[in-house]
Amino acid sequence: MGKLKNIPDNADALSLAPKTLLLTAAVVLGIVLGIAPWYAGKKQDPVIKPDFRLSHDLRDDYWGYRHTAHKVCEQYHSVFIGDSVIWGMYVDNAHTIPALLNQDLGGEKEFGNLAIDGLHPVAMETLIDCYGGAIRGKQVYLYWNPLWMNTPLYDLSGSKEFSINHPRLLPQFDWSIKSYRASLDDRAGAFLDRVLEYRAMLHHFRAAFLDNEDLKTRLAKHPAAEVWKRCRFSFAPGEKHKNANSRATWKQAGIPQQDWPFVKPDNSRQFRSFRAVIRKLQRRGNRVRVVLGTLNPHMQTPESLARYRKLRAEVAAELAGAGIEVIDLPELASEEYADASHPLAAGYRTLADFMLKQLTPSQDKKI
Amino acid sequence: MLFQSWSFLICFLPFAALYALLRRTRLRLPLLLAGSYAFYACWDFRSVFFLALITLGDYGFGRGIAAVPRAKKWFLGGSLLLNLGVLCSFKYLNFITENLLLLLEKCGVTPEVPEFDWLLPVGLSFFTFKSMSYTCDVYFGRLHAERDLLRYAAYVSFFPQLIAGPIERAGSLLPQLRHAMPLAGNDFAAGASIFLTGVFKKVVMADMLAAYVNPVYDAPAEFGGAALLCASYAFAWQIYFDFSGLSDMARGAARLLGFRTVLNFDNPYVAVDVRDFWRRWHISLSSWFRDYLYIPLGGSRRIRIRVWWNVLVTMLVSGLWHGAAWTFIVWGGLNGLGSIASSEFDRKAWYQKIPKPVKQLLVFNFITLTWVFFRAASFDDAFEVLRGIFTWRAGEFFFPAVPAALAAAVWLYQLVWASRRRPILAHPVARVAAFALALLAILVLGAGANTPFIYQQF
Repeated sequence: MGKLKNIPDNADALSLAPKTLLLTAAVVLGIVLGIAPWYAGKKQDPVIKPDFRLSHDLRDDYWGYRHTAHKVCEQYHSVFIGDSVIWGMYVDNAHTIPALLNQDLGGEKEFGNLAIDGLHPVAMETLIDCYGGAIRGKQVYLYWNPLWMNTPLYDLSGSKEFSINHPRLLPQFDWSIKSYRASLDDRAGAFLDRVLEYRAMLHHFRAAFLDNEDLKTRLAKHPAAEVWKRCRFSFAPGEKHKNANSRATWKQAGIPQQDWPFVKPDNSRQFRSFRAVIRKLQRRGNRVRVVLGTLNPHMQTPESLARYRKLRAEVAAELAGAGIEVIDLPELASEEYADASHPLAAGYRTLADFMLKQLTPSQDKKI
Repeated sequence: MLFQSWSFLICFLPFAALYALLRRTRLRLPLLLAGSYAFYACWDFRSVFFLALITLGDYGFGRGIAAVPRAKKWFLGGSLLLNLGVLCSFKYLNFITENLLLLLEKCGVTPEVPEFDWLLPVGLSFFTFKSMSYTCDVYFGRLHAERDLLRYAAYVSFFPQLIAGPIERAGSLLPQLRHAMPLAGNDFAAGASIFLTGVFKKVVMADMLAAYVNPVYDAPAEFGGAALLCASYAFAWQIYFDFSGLSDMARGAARLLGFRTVLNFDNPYVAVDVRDFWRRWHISLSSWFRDYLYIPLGGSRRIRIRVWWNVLVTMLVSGLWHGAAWTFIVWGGLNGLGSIASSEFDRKAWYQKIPKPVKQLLVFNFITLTWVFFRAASFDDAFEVLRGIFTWRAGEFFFPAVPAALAAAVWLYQLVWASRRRPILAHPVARVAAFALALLAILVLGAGANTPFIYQQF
């Protein structure tokens, strides 16, 4: 049996003297503070082609986004910011709206694609604030997707628990978002990711090199050789979707008609953030044009459609009233929608054609 | 609220600062008590009732023993009944009824008995044993009964030790609660470094090894002998890192408040025999069983067969303390047999000639074998693991090189510490390098979900 006395205090755990602890802390702090800038300098740049978009695998890599935004803003005259509609869900790199516009303009690097799948306005506000500092003095096309205001749930103004995209970009200590019920640990972790560069960089490593797997788990679940073999030591390219450009329409997919209540702009949490994003971008010397997206009108009941059109009109009026230029996208034909908000390849083409008529690239180059 | 979580840090740091400010005032004990109860309520506020019940009960029994010495047996009996009653009701009732029903079924009787789906208050085994040790010490005259209920409540609920020990004796902690302990830079440095060593053990080592062990032990029939053997060794290290890490965090947090608490682990895997292992593993519990069970049974001052019996009973009860399952009882029994064999081998001349490293290796392998019963979900699983290992069943296998290398480095550190070469590790450069590496490992590998501790469930 055991004994309680006469056991050296530090037989099993390191117990340091104050000076030793301070020295160790200084060494560790030096490494932690130095590693991110060192790595950013050494890092392989993403290959920016005219049809460039962020890899879908890297949608949660905000540290990478900051780096990529810097490269994209260096090379493009204008940038698109938005969610999966701009990113180009269900189509390959060459068929996204910015890529189609670039092709139509002769393959130039005119319109950069800085959209991320699932980027709702509340997340966008944090993204632009913390990771979008490079977007300065640009012509910005900011996509507004009515989907984020179709129900209190998506609008984040409801009280029912809801797991929305990009939780790490939500305001972690804004208790008014009742549907976000993360633990204090998750909130503190997400907050620290923004404050401590090395933590955001670790997320980048996981997303870019480890298939979004935790390094600790990966080391234990795979042989050492396998860990190295499966690491990709460069940015994953924009992937080619399986069955890209050939997805079924919403009707073929059997999606039923919807009756959405929609949240008024004045009561909307998402629209509050959308306004904040515009202000933030403008303060950074950008010229902001809002691209008003559509929500599949064929998939809505007549009552829902009436509410939707009223909301769209209210948003357009408010933005116009605030002196923001608006590009009001047309509603597509039923067979051009894949679901509630995403067009099919033909729909992206239609939208790009419409936008091309609205744009004057030579003017856009100079703000 | 796990020690290694941000929420603990967010709450603990302001609390520690406030405690440091108020520790020379009358608010010291109420603050500590309120902090401890708030910490416990974070786990499950309903369990607070049982903590308060045990505290009030044993405080009363302690006062009773001091006030009416003639009736002290009754007061001690009351304390044991209260503590063991609460413990059995929550932890062992289903186990007892299940086994009774099985027995009755064999006799042809099948009565309808409802299953008790009661919530086991977290840390119950720890704070009941802590509180019981106080009444036993008062009964045996080792300790004066505590007059101040607030101080006694602060002792039982002392939050760094509330969830999973160490089971600190009242004789050690109550005096520290009586007066404000001096709090110097040394305490802060020692507390912070011990706490962070614990974090390293848990979030880097234990959690990494768990990622290898869990899939294998969750479905042992699907793995070959090599994987099962490797997972068994990995578990031996996982449980060490998990529990000793927790103990370090508890000691570190206590030290940051100025309290010096018991050391719960002393490099157990450098033990040279099984008795030595138990002098180094979960020291606060093994010493509890020594003082309150083994010695009252007669200890080692009896004929040899009686001493064997005392050891075996103590270890079987220790096994049962860990969990209400036969696998834990077998685990305890195997350790009891190992302890008896160790004491018998020690008398033989040939055993004395075996080199120390060989003995250490033999003990480590024996302990690893007993852990199979501790870790396996059932007897069937335990035997499946052993069958797979001893028949060397073919199956998919990979060697977790990185966790193994890290565990080997820690083992080497401990072996050197236990050897004559210890001064090498005491050199400031070695200490800074070791601690810096541990901190960097926490920063790089420590991110991710916080997993609960193994001993928390007991």
